[in-house]
Amino acid sequence: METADAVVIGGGVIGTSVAYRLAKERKVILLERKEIGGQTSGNCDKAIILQSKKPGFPIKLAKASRRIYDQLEEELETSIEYNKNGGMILIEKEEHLNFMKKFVDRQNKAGLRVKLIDAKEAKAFQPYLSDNLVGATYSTEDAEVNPLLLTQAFSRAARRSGVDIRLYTEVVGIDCQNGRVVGVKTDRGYISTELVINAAGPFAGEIAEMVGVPLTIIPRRGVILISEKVPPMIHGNILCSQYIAAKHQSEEYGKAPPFGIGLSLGQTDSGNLLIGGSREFTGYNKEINPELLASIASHAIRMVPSLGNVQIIRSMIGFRPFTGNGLPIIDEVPGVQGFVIAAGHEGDGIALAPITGILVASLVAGESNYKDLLEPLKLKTE
Amino acid sequence: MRISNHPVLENTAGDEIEFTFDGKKYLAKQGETIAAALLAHNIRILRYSMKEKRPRGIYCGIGHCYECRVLLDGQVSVRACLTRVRDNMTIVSEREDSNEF
Amino acid sequence: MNFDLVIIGAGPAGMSAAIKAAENGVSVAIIDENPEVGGKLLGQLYKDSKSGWWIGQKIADELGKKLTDLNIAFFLEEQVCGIFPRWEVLLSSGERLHGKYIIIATGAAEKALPIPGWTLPGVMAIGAAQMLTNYHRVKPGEKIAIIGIDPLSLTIAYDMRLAGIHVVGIYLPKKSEFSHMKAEPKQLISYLSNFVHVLPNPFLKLFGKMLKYPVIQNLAITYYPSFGIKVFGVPLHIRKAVVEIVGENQVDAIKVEKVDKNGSANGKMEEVTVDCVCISGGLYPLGEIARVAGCEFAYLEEVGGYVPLHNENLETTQAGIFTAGNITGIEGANVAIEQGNLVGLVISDRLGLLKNSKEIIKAKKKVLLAREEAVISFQPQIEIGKEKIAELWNKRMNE
Repeated sequence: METADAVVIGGGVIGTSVAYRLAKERKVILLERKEIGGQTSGNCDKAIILQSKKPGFPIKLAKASRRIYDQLEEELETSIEYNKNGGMILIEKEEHLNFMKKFVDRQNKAGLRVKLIDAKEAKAFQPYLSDNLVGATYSTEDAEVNPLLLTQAFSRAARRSGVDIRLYTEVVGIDCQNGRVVGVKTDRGYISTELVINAAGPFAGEIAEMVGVPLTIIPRRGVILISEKVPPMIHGNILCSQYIAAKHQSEEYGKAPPFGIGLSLGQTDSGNLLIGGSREFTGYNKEINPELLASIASHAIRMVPSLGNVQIIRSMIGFRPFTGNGLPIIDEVPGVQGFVIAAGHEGDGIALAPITGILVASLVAGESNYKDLLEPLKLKTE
Repeated sequence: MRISNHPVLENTAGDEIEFTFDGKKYLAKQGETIAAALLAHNIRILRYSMKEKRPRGIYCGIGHCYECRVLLDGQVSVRACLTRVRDNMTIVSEREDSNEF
Repeated sequence: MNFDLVIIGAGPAGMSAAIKAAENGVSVAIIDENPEVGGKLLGQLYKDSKSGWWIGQKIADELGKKLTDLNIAFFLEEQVCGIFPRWEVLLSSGERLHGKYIIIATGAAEKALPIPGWTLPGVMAIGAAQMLTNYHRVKPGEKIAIIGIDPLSLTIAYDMRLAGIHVVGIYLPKKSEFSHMKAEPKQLISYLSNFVHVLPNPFLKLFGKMLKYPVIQNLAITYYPSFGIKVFGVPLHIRKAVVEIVGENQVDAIKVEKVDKNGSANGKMEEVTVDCVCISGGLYPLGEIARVAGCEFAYLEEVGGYVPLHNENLETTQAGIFTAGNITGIEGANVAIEQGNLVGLVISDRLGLLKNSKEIIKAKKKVLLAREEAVISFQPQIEIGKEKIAELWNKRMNE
């Protein structure tokens, strides 16, 4: 019978990062239903934005992950187009100015350097911005990465470390005996193991159900437009205050816009612009309508009018794993020994992938060095 | 060079119109595409690639490969093989510094 | 805007479908990204032993006139940005066309053959050279080399000679992962001998006489003269491959190498001065829009690549979306026209506008007949491929 020290379920950015870290000490098998990075991790933007996170623990977690990024290209022995170009949140309306001021204050108190700048300063940094903006926030701590390269880099590094990656292999059941995991059933055979990492992203709920654990991770759909290659026109990443409102959707920010539209704009090294995006709860429905695409485009053009002269070559649809509290779950399920969840990163999977791998490795090794980061990520049982 | 006196096909008639390419004036036949009009004047280079700055011209001729992109009256990425020449058009070969956003 | 039927692609298949449907009272919109209708027809020119010259442009003009007479709505110089359920077509101008039924008739595109220097201005797909020569009447070059020997490239080489263009030779491509049998003389000859019965011009006739029997095929390869055989003044080099296209800002020359029966280099290199190189890598069905619409696909070598799965009425796996023409497999315009007629009738029937449904049976027979009688065919195994599609469709429906 086939055996492994650990089975990682899911070949996205989280699963590959976790498998890579676990492989240092274990024989690991990674199971992926389709292709590496083919779902959520291959249909997202490229921002590693810290200043959009909620002040407090989310910022602390993001900063810990961001520090790992600084050495990641060296460690993974490949370029992931990681750039510390800073990030900007545009403020389009006077009524957003107040809450953005408060937001910036709280970020600075949480130890994140964010500056409120006026429209003129913003335009000096990003020459293609609209003249109608009220101002912007700017942080040098924001960065960007190519998510496709990142997932491939983790996957290759994992392979080099001995991880057995199996594509087109679907998990159909998880075998438990006396409250502990003993094996994984796949459509291509049985693997005996005492450790399973559920890194199935938006599908993590379906996997958790196999051990009888209800997990409320639901898919939140995000649509992003991709432009033709154009000369460099965007430095770092640009969000807008409406994005912050849509992301946190708190009462104080007012009513959510249609389709949850908020700007997220970045440019790849090859010149393509990634123009986001929407945030909607529509299940796994991939059908979209022209209004949605038009809304994303017209919102972006309002902030960066020159985008009106750029051709869109395609759009992508990603399902982000939404947990409800803006944080992922990284925890061993109580009562099911050996079943660990590392999922629910919503739109922060790219930003948090490096730390997630390390946290899972620390958790399963029973170490206490990351207790402060793991504690708030525990599974809430009610 | 144009083909005249085809043994099988009827000769094509058409009024001549004037257009500008990279600052020079040329004549085209009414109804023909930018790519055909330029090739009739032996002009093959329509743009330069973004990274290596290598010259590019017509490849597929049916709008699929996007190699023949030109800048037309300020509009970027117009396909020369699908777009008809119109009187007094201003066309510029596409290169990085010619893109205006 | 609302229509009964929205057709994407105004080539032979799309236009005939539009005409048949409109004749039965269906309201039709037809979209194309070209400034005029006709598609691949516009560049076609060859001699048909039965009916004389096939002048594609004339046929396109006739079909186009019918479209106008039937008050079909044209949307030219428009790109399709997306198809949204059930069913809305978004155009690049922002116009949105709502259709009870959709026909995707996007035709085919050409495969490229990767040869060093292929991005230089002056290198073009053979189909581009065909349009320039026969439609625009502009010489693709003053001295032209053609890479790739197949029914399409031979036909177009003939068209070029007809137009008084100097073709310095037709060569094999360099052997590579992508060239397949196109770079191997022995296999190529055997492939070309499949077309013996449908030879439209002197090039193919030459092969036909020479290559009817396997023994002679082998001898022909072994004793093929190194200077090529001249037909219509054009040397046909079945034992020479182009290994590089050279030039600073545009094509100046090609580097040519002698090859053995299997396409491996075995001789010295020579340089031939040219200002234009036409690459014939073969056609493949153009299915992108059908993919976007969610249609399921199958890969079938026999029909030329990935095609949307469809039944004998040419309906895809997405209810209400039909397909016709080269997107269903690489064939000549006559087959595309008959497929268009068929799908136009099927949709008229669905809308309750067809008076005599026996017409559909007749139209199906006509598609098969056109396939049998095709003057130029590209895929020798097309009929086997079509049977496989039918099997796959039945299998899927029984799932």
